[in-house]
Amino acid sequence: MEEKLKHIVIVLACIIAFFPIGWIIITSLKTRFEVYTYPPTFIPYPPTLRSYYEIYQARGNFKYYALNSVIVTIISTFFTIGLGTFASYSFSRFKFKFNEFFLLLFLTTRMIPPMSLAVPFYIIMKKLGLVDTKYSLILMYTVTNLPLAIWLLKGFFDEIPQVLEDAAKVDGCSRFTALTHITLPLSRPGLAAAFIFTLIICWNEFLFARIFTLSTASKTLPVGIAELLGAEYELDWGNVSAAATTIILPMFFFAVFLQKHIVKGILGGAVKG
Amino acid sequence: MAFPNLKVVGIMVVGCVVFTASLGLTQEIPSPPTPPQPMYKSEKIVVAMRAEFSDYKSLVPLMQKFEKETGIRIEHIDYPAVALRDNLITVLATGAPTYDVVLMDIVFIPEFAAAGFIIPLDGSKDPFIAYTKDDLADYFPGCIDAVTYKGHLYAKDYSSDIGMLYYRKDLLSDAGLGGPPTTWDELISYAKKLTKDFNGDGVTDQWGYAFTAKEYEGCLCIFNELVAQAGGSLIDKQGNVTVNEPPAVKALQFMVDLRNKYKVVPPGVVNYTEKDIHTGFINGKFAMARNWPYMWGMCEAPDSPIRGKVGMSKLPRLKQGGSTMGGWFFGIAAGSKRKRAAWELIKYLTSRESSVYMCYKSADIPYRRSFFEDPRVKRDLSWVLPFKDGMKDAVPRPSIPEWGTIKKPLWTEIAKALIGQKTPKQALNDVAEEWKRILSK
Amino acid sequence: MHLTDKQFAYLLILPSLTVVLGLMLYPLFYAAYLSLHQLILTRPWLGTPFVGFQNYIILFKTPFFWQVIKQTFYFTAVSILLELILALIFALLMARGVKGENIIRGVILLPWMLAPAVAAVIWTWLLNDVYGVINYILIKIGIIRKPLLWLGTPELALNVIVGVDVWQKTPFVFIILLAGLQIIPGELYEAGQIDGASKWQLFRYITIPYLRYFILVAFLLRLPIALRMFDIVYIMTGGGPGGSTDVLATYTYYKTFGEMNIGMGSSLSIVTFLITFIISIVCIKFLKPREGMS
Repeated sequence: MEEKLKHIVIVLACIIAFFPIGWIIITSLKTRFEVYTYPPTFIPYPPTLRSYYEIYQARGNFKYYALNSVIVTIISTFFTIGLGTFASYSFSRFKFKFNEFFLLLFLTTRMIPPMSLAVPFYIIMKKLGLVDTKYSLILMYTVTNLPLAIWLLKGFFDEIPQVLEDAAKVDGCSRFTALTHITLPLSRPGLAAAFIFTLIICWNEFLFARIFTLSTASKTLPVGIAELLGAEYELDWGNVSAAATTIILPMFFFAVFLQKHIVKGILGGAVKG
Repeated sequence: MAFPNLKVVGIMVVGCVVFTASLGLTQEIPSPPTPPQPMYKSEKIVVAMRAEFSDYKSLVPLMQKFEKETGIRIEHIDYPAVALRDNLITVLATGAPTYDVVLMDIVFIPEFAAAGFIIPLDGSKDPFIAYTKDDLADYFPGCIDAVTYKGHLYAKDYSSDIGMLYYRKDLLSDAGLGGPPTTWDELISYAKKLTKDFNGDGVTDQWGYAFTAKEYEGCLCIFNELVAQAGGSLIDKQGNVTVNEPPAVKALQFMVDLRNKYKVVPPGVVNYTEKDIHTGFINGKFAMARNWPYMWGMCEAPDSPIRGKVGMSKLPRLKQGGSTMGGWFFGIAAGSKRKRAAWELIKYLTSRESSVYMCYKSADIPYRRSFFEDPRVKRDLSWVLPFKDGMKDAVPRPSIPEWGTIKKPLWTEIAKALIGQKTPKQALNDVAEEWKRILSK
Repeated sequence: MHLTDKQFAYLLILPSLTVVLGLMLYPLFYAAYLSLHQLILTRPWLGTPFVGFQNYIILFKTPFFWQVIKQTFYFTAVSILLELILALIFALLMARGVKGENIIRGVILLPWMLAPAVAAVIWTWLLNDVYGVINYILIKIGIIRKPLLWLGTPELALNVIVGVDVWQKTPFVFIILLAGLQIIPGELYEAGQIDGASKWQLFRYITIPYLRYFILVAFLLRLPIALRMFDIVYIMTGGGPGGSTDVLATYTYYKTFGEMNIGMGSSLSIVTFLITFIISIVCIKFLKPREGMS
């Protein structure tokens, strides 16, 4: 009985989560004629890739946007998780006098409304000559996501008993080896969570991308879809849906794939013996 | 992986050919005109503009031609139309020389001029940068008013936008109506006949009319032209606040009645933008609608479900005709270091020849009187002729820099009147009070 | 190279620290500075005089500002609460492993993978009163008789916005809570079961203490985002109808880019920041659980 209830709730959640997405995918495969029919049809007849063709070929820019998004996202995420892991480990293990203060400071940076960051950062990027480059985005994303990563990871590191590392040190490991061989593997669910977060946040980031990018050299997918959505008049739902599908599907496959290989269930056996 | 459906592609290709052929076998789409050699050159010019697909079809080839003929490199930076203003403000406020030419919506002009973001184009700043006498006489007076701030001209027209009445010829004739409504009363009675519930389930399946009334600029365009049709104004020529005088109250009452009393427009209009209007019109939910000229192209596209069934006319009148003047204009950024070369480019992009080219390619129409007399236009683009009358009645919104500030109280109160929280008189009195307070500072 | 514990620690954080603090706090101070001046771009002849707290005083005297605060708080409180509850339920259901769990997790994550602006446009389209799919389906299966005016009815509009935000952000909270649950060492449960504890007792004495921290983390991460939520309101209702869905972020936007009143816009940014800051500190002080779990 309990199992059945559990299944019903999960199926319901999946339907609610998926329905608008499914609708977008369906719409991205419709002809312009069919997009405008009422009552709405649920199966495109005939299905067509004309929307994808239009945004990738005819209007042409989405292929650049996609490439830029991939590069910027992957690099930013690696920097963020890389730097963040070490910083948060340090906050977790070493009790500074100013431990709390710094953590609060990190948290504070997330509270600053991005609108007030826009102009100052634009000026900084201009001075650095980085406007309209992918570097500006990578720098920006790493900087703005580090606090989040640090906060998250610290929480996960806190939950891993220090006795494990102490035991390893007694056995002759250096602090660094203890970190990489014992603590990190145990915190994999946390690492995976932080990794996925940062990935998705960078992939979808829009405010700074809009401000720092000017041409196809650096524009990312969110900027591309904003151009389609923000078109004063000519909103073609098929094109918008194709763009949205392009944004969602890679993340979807990545999330499923990543979790299969990295996230484990409840930890067992680590402390025994 | 599915391949594009060849049948569909085939149909579209045939459709395009037929459509093009149907425009007249004598039509050849002209190529971009050759610009005269500029007196002032520069290494490059940076243009900030919108990322509309229509601009790609016409502006970009023009810029490419200019580049080829003059050797000046043109870099264009595209923003989604809704974000263009924010980006322009952010960059222009710093005074940086990032942009040379900026594309602006008609309402940006007074505020950008007041803020010193753009320079005058009437020779007062630089004798070389000046409208020709010819151009001054060619543009419709309303257009010249719209670009004037404190006695100087600050922008040059690239495309126009005026509110038009769209109607489904087939649905009107089914209801026994001959042509489009021409007065407010006719609009009400026609719309009543066209609002139908086909299957008697209590849900209206077809609405007689629709307009945009979400809390944004589009709502004010509707209100502005209704007030003009009623013989009034929002702020008169002397600068007095007239938004709560009888014509304006009548206009708001009309909007409210269409929705709440006669129930010929969907209640959802308080949430509609142009996207909703064109979606609803094309899928047959609205028998008539008020929208901008762009919708004509969508309705008559080869794959449009309502091709050939759509008519377009002037908006109905009460005391007189009226339709809100929109449009996009070019200006020169104050921080630009290449102003004269920028002016050469603007002259080219907004010239008579270029306008004709643009109309063929992207259905954009300039505010030039001579445009409608051009033989090519008369021959191949005769669908533009209704717009000439529309332009005579075109009414801009108040061209004051405070427009950005006074917009919000106006659309908020209009919404309150529409949903019945206040009477139109109360709502507009509140607006007037707020406006007087803001404008007196 | 033999580093002391302390030196090792500083080495680890220094890069992050300098970059983050240097780049992020400067704009905050700049905004605070601007908020004490009058700067209206369309009136450059007024210059940028120092006006002390005048911007704030004008703000606090504006009745609409308090309405905006009320609506922002309502939105923030209700959406975060719903997100926490829903995410907790799903995390608990999924923690012990479910068939096909990777796909399910992927599907539940989908809403969050859409940028809020895109989600807002799509939902506006779906919720259209005349041709929207949602009304169509609801009428077809008989739940409602007439199409609902989701975004045009003042009482409903703000809740619809809450709903869209919950739909969009619950996966975010879900991942945090799920990872938190999965970190709990299995032996604790085993040991508890050996000792004869019931399912409820296991939940109460093992799961909740561990979760408390992650719930706090999730809350502190959601709070600033919720308080400055902009896209959903701006796109779906523009603040309407009649200003009933205006929130701090849209009001700030109007002051900054609409009125071009940079001084006032900066004050609003600072107010938003202070509200976020104070609430966060209060929550940390009162809800912070014990240190570590050795």
